[in-house]
Amino acid sequence: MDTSDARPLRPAGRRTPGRRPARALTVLAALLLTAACQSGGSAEQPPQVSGDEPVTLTFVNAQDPGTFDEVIAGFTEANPNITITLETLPFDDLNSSVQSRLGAKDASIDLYDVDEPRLASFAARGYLADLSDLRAEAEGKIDPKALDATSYQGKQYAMPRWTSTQLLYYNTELLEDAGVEAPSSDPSQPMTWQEVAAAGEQAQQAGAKYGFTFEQVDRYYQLQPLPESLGGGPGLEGEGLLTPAVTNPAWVEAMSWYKSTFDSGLSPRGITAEQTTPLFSDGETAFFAGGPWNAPLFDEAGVDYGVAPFPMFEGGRAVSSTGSWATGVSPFSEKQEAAKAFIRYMTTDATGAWQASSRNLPVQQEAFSRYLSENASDTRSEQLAAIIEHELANNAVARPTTVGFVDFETVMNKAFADIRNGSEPAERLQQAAEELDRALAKYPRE
Amino acid sequence: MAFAVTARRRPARTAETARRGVLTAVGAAAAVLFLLPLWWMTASALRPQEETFGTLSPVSVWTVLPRHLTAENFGRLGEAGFTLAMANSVLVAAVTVVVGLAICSMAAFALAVLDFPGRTAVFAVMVVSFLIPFDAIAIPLSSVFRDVGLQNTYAGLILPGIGNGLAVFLLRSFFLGIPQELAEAGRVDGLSWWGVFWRVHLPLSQPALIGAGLILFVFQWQSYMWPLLIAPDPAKKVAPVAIAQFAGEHGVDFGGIFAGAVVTTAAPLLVLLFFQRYFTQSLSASGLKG
Repeated sequence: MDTSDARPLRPAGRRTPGRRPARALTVLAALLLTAACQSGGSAEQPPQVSGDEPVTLTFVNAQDPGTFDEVIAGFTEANPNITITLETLPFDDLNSSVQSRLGAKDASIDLYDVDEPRLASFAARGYLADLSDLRAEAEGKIDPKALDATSYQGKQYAMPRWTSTQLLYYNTELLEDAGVEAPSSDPSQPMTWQEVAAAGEQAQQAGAKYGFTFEQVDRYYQLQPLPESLGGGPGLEGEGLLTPAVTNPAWVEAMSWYKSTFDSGLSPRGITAEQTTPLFSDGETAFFAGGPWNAPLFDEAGVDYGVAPFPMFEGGRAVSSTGSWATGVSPFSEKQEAAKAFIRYMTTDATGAWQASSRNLPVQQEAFSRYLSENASDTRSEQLAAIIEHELANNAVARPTTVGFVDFETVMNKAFADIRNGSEPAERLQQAAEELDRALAKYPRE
Repeated sequence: MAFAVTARRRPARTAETARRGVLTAVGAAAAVLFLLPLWWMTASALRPQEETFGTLSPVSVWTVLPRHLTAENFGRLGEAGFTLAMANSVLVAAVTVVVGLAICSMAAFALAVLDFPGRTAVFAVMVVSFLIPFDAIAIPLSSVFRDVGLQNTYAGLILPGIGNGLAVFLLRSFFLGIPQELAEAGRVDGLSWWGVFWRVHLPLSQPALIGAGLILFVFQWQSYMWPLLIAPDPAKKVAPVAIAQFAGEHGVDFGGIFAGAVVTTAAPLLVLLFFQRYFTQSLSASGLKG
């Protein structure tokens, strides 16, 4: 939409604009400001729908096409008066688009997908309706950790749908060629990061293009376990988790290891998180740290792989990333009761949660057991299921729930990228801490 | 004497030939550099995704040539509702060009030919309007549009594109180059101002109209944020938004993105190729006084 490329030409006009435009400018600025300050204001608390009145709900999300087909079919069969329209936005634009629309009190969104660590910030701005009554119904049915991750200041602001965990994939053939013993699939015996690097280098010497890669390079979600494994914490501490803590020795050590994997050529530089999966599915990489969602892609690509628990640092503790999507209701929606009914079905009801799971891990406990049993069709998927179950029960550490998470993640992801490209970890983390101090200063401490 | 002349000319001709040779080489190199991304995009749209990234390093002839030709990527475009998005984009761009040209040319005519109080101020506001990035006003503007019920409508998509300050600027500059005497002669012969506009200025301004039309077209064709804000309904999705949806949380369908990019590039490319002569003419002509 940028037309700035087209250079304005010098007008051949007889009356070239003189000093008068200054006044015109002021008028224009005033007009623009008026437009900027004008916000909806038309969304009042509506009468709730009830009975058999036909209702159409708009569900804003960023999932792959087809993800909700089954659950919508299941729900509308039982509730024929409710129609659900999906508004699927591009993944990168979901949060900004939802924020700008809800900021203007747009009543056309009834329910929407919330990335769990962003929940606090959405809730604090008043973009999520209180769903505490749904929590009471969900107790005992949904993993309590997931319920906690979606509550803020004692209220439930969204209902968790899925969870996630991490594991280590390895290319069987590349390890065999290098004479490296395959890692154990026993969930309680993860490799250490140092062992992964050494084995990866050996595989490279035997012909593998890369020894190891993270799926989500430079993203906090997957890198959080590194400092956490060494006891360095999530990077935020204090009241409201608004004080940076990214310069302690554990963080520096973890980031130094991260940097070393790129310095040595074990992992490739200049590849974004979206481009890492093909490196493993093409059979070029010996080890790959990823999520359960990668397995079907690797199956499809026909790569010969095995699974092992997510590594940890020597002398540290095993930690795995977790968290996923939850669904919340817009406080400006005029159909909140119907929206809640759909969320209840999609998250708390065993059948609904199963239908809504797509290829993700449901947090509804019955649906989760079904996921594990249905997916354990051969030895490898049995191992995968065992690792998932163990990691979620013992090692999963959620991203910090704080209003400042978006600022934190933005600053840290840049720092990770710089470290990957050669910045000194201690200095770069110090710089990140200073940036965070400034970025988080705008949030009030209670 | 004759010898001397030839001797003097020959080095000059050689130097000229050499200069021309170097310039041609530089021109060709620049052309290749511009063409390369488009070529790579097209090649990548015609091969499986694994091949696109598998052939990146080391660089070989297969980096830019598809080894296994496939139309699969284009097939996935259809499944993802790209056809509808493309139709929406064409409709929005076409209506914007037609209505936008009508409005912008009338505004430019008024600013260039008619004398009325505040003319300079109005023109200044228009100039400023195209210096403000549209993205900066998109969010407040979208809330105004929503309040008046333009969400998820074609009108909501089209309206911001039709009053384009740059197009008015361009057309006004061109109209100023048309001798005032022509308009006066027309008036003396009994033409109304509308007649002068329709029978004198418009027929003489074909290149400028094409230039302004292209500006309007490109503005709508590449718009991404505005459609995302004002028309999230799948039935009103436009092509750039449809392409962005190939990038999901856990993976990106680069094949689909490349195929979508090829299709969306082809349309403006054809339009530009067809009109490029007029476009450059309009840029140079509107900057000069008739």
